[in-house]
Amino acid sequence: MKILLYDQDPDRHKINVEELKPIGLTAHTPGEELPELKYFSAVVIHTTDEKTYRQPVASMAIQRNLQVVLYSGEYSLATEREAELRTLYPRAQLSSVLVPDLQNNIKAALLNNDASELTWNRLSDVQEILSTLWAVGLVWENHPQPGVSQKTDTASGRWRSEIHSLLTQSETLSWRDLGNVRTPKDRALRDLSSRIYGRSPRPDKDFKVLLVSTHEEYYDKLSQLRESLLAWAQAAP
Amino acid sequence: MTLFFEHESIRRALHATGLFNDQLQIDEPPSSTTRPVFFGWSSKDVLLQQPQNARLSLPESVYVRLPQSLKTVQDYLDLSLQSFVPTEQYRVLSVPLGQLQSAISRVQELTISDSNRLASALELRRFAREHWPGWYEEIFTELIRSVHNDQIATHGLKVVMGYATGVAASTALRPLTDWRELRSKADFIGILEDVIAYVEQGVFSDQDLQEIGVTLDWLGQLETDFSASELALREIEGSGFQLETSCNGWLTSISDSIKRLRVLRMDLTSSMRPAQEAITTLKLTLDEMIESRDQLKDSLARRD
Repeated sequence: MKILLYDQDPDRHKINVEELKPIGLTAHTPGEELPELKYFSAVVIHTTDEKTYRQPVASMAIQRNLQVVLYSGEYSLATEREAELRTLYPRAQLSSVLVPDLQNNIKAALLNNDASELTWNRLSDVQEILSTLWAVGLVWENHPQPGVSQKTDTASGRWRSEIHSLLTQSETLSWRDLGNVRTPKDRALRDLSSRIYGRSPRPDKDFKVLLVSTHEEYYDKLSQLRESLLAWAQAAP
Repeated sequence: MTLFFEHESIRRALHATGLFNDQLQIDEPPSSTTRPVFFGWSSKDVLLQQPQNARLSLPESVYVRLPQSLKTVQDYLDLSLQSFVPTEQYRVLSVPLGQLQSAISRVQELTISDSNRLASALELRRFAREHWPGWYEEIFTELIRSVHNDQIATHGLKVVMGYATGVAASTALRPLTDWRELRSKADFIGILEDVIAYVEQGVFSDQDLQEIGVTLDWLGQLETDFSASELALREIEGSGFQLETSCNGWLTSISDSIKRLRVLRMDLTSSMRPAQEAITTLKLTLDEMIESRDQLKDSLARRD
């Protein structure tokens, strides 16, 4: 997948072009002739530059059915432009993102070959984390140890459920193992959480609250983590 | 059982318990006959800001806030098997149109000091974009702007309430209007028209038609689009909303055209006259639908 970035000064928006170039980012200098859009899956546009240089790159990309991501130092400028474009192109794949998320979003999209990663849905990630952690507790209730129920293909070709324990020798949950648990979308909890806790502001509680020794305690702590993560996700614009 | 999940991952987590699997019959509202049970992580208040969750406000709906123990989950899954007779209000709140109207009423009741107003306004716009793209963008963006300025622009909301059924009907008919407006579909009709004209003028013979490979395979796609539009309109009507009488007339007319074209599809050597008439009727009907939709758009833009 290739992504086109339309920005006069990517450094100012904390986009490290050198890091992203080898994995598929093309940085375009506004004002210069646009490359052929048909070679890209998505276009990431600094809306102020688009206006300044009077290059209707967003409209052109939408007409080519590309995913368009808008941003601006002032978030409302991007959302206003988004509303304007939506009136003209109701079926466009269009979104506005915050500047601090750009680098991670572009990287995740290119690495996972998934343009939807360009828009970071915090709430969805939080729900995925919480549901995965809850599943660990449900397994714990049914078995002597917390674990992950994984279906494995046996030699006979039949599926069977296997429980991988997540307890340390000191009989508490192991954060290292918990971080390796994969979500229904096959992403490691560690990857999802590092994206969340790498942002500022970050949730006021982290996964360490879960390192307990009984499932009752685990549910109680998971409720606390839920409040913290949801409050953080719901506070984002 | 009638189950709702705030996020798909909750369903997956339930799979891990072995209590729940894809083989279980999930009822689809508004025709569901088992008690609706919602599983979610957010508080009920937050969920109610999202128009699609309007049914949660009804006493017959059960909300299970996670995390819960295995035993509690089992109890709620059992509850979701209980039979249930949907009330009129439940049916209304089961379709996007009813959910929109309910959400607008809630926003209209909010006061300036209410901390939920921005989230509710943003959810309204997101919901409208999902179901009726392009129709309410300006009105809801204006609403959000007004909330930022410590006001609530309610006039636009009244306008939306007034036009909501018409907009829903127009959106339901979009798969059909695409047959005039979307080149990839409209071209099929145009080519058939040309072919019929050539046959009428004697330029093409029946034999030529078969040799050049004229087919009406696209008729299947038109039938699918017709069914989708018809189903969407019936869903609106079935939930107690009154559609314009013209909607049913359009459906009858298009259905009739499809039937006549089907005869031509079976036998390309049959008379071209009924096919020509069918195409003319089809185009006229689609044009009427488009004109009516454009008038609705103009009125909405003027906030009449």
